[in-house]
Amino acid sequence: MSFVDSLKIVLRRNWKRLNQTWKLYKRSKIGLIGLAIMLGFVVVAVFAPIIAPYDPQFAAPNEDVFVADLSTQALNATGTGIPIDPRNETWHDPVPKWTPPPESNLVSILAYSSQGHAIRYVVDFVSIESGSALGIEVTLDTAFLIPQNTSFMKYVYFRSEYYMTVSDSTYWELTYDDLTPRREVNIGFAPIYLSNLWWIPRSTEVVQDEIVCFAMANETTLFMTAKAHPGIGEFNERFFVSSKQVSVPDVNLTDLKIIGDPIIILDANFDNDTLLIVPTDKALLAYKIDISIRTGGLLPGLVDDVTIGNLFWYVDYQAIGDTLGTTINPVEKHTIAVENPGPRKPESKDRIALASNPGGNEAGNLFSFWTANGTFNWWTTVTVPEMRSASVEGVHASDRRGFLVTAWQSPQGLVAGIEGDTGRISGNLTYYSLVEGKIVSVPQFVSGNRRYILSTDQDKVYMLRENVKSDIVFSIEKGILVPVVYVGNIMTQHQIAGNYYSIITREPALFIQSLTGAYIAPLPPGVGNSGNVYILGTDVFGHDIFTQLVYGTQNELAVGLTAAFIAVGIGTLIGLMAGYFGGIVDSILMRFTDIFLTLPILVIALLLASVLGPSLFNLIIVISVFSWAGIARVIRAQTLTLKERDFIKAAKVSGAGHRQIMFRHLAPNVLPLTFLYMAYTISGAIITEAILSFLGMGDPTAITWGMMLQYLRISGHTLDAPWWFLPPGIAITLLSLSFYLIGRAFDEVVNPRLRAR
Amino acid sequence: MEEVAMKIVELTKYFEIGRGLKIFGGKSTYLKAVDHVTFNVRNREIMALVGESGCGKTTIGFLIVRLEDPTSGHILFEQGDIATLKKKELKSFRRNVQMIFQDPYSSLNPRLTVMQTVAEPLINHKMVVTADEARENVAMALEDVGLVPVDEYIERFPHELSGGERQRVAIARALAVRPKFIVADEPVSMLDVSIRAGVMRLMLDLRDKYGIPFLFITHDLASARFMADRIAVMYLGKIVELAGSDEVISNPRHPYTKALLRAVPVGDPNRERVPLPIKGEIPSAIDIPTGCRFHPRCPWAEDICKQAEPELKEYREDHLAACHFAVEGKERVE
Amino acid sequence: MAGMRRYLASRIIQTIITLFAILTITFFLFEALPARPDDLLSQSPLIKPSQKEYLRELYGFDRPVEERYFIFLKNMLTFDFGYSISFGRPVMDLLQERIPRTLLLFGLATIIAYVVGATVGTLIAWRRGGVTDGTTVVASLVFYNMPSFWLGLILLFLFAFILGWFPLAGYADPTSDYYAIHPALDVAWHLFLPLITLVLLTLAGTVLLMRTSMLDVIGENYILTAIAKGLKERTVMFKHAARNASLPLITSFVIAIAFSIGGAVVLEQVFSYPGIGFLYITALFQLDFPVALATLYIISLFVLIGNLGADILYGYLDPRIRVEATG
Repeated sequence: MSFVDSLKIVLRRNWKRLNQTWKLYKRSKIGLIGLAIMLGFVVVAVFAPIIAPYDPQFAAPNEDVFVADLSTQALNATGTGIPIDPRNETWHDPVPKWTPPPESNLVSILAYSSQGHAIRYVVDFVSIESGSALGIEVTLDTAFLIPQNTSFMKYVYFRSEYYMTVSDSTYWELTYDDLTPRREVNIGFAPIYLSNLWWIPRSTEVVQDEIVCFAMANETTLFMTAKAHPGIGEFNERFFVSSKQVSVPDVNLTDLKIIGDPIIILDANFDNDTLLIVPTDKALLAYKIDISIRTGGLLPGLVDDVTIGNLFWYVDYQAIGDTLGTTINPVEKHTIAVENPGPRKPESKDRIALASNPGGNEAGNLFSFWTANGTFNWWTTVTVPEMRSASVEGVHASDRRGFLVTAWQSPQGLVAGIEGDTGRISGNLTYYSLVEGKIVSVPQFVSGNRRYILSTDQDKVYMLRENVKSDIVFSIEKGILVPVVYVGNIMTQHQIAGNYYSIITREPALFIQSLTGAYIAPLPPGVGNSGNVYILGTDVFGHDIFTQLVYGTQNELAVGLTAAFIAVGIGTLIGLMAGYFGGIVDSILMRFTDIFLTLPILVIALLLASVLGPSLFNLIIVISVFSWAGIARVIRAQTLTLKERDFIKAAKVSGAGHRQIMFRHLAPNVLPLTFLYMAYTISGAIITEAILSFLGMGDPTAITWGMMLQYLRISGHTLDAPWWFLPPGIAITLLSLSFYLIGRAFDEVVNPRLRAR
Repeated sequence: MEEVAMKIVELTKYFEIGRGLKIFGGKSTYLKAVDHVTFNVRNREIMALVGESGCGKTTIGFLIVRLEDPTSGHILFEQGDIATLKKKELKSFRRNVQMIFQDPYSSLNPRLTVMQTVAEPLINHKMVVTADEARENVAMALEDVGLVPVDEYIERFPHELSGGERQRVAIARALAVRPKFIVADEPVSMLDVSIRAGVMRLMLDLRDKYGIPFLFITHDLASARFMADRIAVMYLGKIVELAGSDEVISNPRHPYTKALLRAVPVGDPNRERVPLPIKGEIPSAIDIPTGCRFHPRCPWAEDICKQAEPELKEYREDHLAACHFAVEGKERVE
Repeated sequence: MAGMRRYLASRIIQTIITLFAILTITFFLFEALPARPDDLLSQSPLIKPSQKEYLRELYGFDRPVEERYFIFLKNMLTFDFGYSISFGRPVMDLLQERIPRTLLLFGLATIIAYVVGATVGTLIAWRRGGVTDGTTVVASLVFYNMPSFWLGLILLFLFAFILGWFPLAGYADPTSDYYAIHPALDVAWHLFLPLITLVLLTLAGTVLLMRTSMLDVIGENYILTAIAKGLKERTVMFKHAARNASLPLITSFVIAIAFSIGGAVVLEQVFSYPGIGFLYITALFQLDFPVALATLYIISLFVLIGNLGADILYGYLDPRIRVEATG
């Protein structure tokens, strides 16, 4: 007989049975409703790409979610007489000038490159409508030639305006107006690491003196410049330079390599604890900055000299590591950060944090020491439930007490707020955010709208609230070449109207955008500024809800069907074996089944999901593990009944072996029951997936309706975005209901006593 | 010995009920379903095993096909002892001994077609290799049992067949492997009365055609007489009478047999039947009376019946009975 | 009672075996978590060094796995849990604080749901096919298939956020007006929304179950007999039919009480209700393992005892179960 013939026979054989089952099934109204709903979802899942208006990665463009104000400037300096092809330049962080705090009004932005070019733009604000939205107007000012290989520039107002500049091994001060050099200092090496810039007004009864300090370092040598300028009179500023090689000879810590940016800590009075903290590969060093004050002469009280002094304290990583039972392996560049880096009172106790990665697959750590004397304070492992073995990228200052730490575990990045006192993640372990990609900018605090801003290597800019929860994310379509820099505010009538940040995009172009708190995602259903239609609105990230719903259907069905299939498969197999073999096999299998029946499911499922990690596959496993037991029991009961039927005896007499009896005779007869329970199991699996996702065990890379609701909860918009909140719940209910109804209708087919009498 | 197809010797089956907790020294109670039964089935013979429910006849049937394992005793067949067959040998044994079950509604797998059902034993015993061969054999078997035209029946499901048709399928299934012995456990009891004759006729024809000995288990003496060459009457696990069918019907020696006969409805309404006054109901096989098992109900029981269990002795040639008074010359007058 | 002793014995043994299985599974799952307990200990600020030492001793960090397993078993069975890493307080204290809150919420909800559900189920089954029947069944089906947390969120949204009738979180607020009248009133005010959510959800299942059960029973002959005998409809409905139909309900009820603690996990999250479920999730996320282990253990205990109770009750009521179980 050919294959087609045997196929025909199989179909014909089962056709009558299927037809009969269908006739019985049809009689149940709820069965038909359930089937209709389910088929509706299946159609949606299959035709998702056609039905969904956008594809799954789509996020609403900035113009829709963001009442933003932006400007893009091509960096080609036309009309300035200096020919610049922006693509041939290596651009650095744009340098803003803003008026002194508290206004911090943005005045100009300078973009500079290593090729000796700089272009400045002037920023002015414009009133778009009376009162409400304000905009900026960015115009090209002029271009300049600057020293080649400039690696650092910063605008400083210290009695006069200038740009602090470092190129190769020279420190320059370039005038603000036309960037002509007014001071040139030979550093002696090309700096790799740069400290913070500090200046403090210092006053006694007699005199007022302002001091600004700045330190640079390469791998072995420190270099510090300091300037003092009296506040009264027209005395010239005094400029000091000091340099030091790092080593701690007495304890044999030689051949030290500086690995990160040093930090200058100044106290309010220059009296004590003015320190330069330097991270090296084997130890953390703190040098005293010696400030010598004129005691006599013409104007006593003025600063006479500022130098890098003696080693004040040091921390030997090996020694500390041994006491703690761990290894300190510091990260490079953003190795250390100081808590609350503002002018401190002598009695304030502050900490310094050191970021380290022990290596291997373990999560990174932070170690904390007192700045006053370098004694160990605490250490902590940077780990959150969603990221258990992230490597720390750097530790940064926070706007409040404590620190910010950035970490990375492919493919996500992590930024978290760390409590200074304890080292724990602040907010009872909730102040953190996961971002897409590696964080490539230092998280900067924008005081105007109290947000942190950072960008990742996935061309995304994140704005995080003070609780380090991101509420605004957008992609820079043109790509980020130079990461985000906060550039200042626009003031109007003494009110901050907008905070701006700038990015150099890949074109390359200078891109300035405001972060006016008018981020309006999640968007309600409607049409956005770009003309995009959002049938059900968007979520806080700008994803179209309807699209997510549609694509989510695929995952829901996949998870539900697979989990149920596995559970029912296992349950049926075990039930068959227990029922058929009886005796000790039955006892053992049923004990085993009973254990699974009486486990408190949700509790252990959560634990299991924690261990396995968040992924769709693991969810399927967890759900299957807890669903098979009920089916096993039922199938066993049915098998016991069937076993006594004569055709089983007849099969034995016909020479059938165990396997044949189980699979040829028993299994097809329990199949109706199997299908029945499969329907119920699918129904339950969908709800269980929703609950597990909602509680945080879901797969962040997959779109499911449970995850949609979880993001809703995390983003804090639960109570104000009903369009985000209702559809997933309704979808879950409907899908689960449909399978349940199918189950009930099928139940009536299989158990006739349920039919209407 | 060639005339004997199967020899059953002291076959015993006790079921353990109510396990006492052995650690506490409890005793188990046993249900003595079959108690040291001995008889032969001759070649080409249909032997009927008659008795009421619970007498052990069905159990004997299961023992013969090894659906149950004997507690002790022998079932000598084809140079071997079925009772002691090991697992590996069971399969080849199964080819030679087949069974037809009582309930036509449950002895066929509702999910398999007639073709699949009848072909199953053929495939299991590797008697056919290709699908076409299987179909041929099945067709032949169906013709043998009268389910013609074969094509009409071969793809049907059990629920599309009548009771009689199903039983024919069961017979075809048993027949297909050309067994050397068939146990038929009440094959017509659940069929409509009008169908019974046809099916019984069929079995007789098949015996004539293929020479297969049958053990025909029934509770109905009338059909036993119709079908069987010899009849064995069982009571509470023991054979109480064994003789040619005509002999048993015309000259029963055991009181129980007599009572059974009296209970058989007779075609002639005018003929009076005097039912035999036996008391009470069949006792449970757990609690078997001492002495002769039948004595509590026997109208003629005497002291000896309470004390000594009568053996199945020859009363005449080819007529055995287990009663103290079943002795030539000591017949009772009724 | 025939077979009762044996049945009881087998069920108790079963429970003990399951308990050990749960403990073993729990132990190995915790071992598999990707975090070193020592690191976890070091992280917490609130926990004193003496407490850390105690925990180290108690759980035997420096011992090999086999030893730790038995130490763990001993700890659990003697209810010696140590201190919470995140709170620095003895775990027992936390449990004692939280268990009653959860029990209050879910015990109450389950009782209400079952009583109301049994009644409603009975009534609508009796009048099968009416509009009330249809509507109730549809409503029950919908609520039954609704994700629990979603319903909670809806109610929270409507009644706490929009209407402001109920608080958004917590268990008790000593500063509230209700508290001033009586602390219990304040508790009730906080309890109301989660209670209603849970009642609605459980009710759905109960009504459906009772209705099905009643339909089964109604078709039985003895009911027809009772009606034929001329008994009043109400009597038949409640005294005869419902009583027998409630058999599956009763067992489901006892199990529900046991599971109510497990079910707490989700709803307590939604309503920020500081009961044992909330504690469990927080502990799990913070890897506060003494608390997580203890909570899981207690919850399992309750579930197992509940199941045992259900089995015993069912065995008492339905003799067939005893025979089947021991056969």
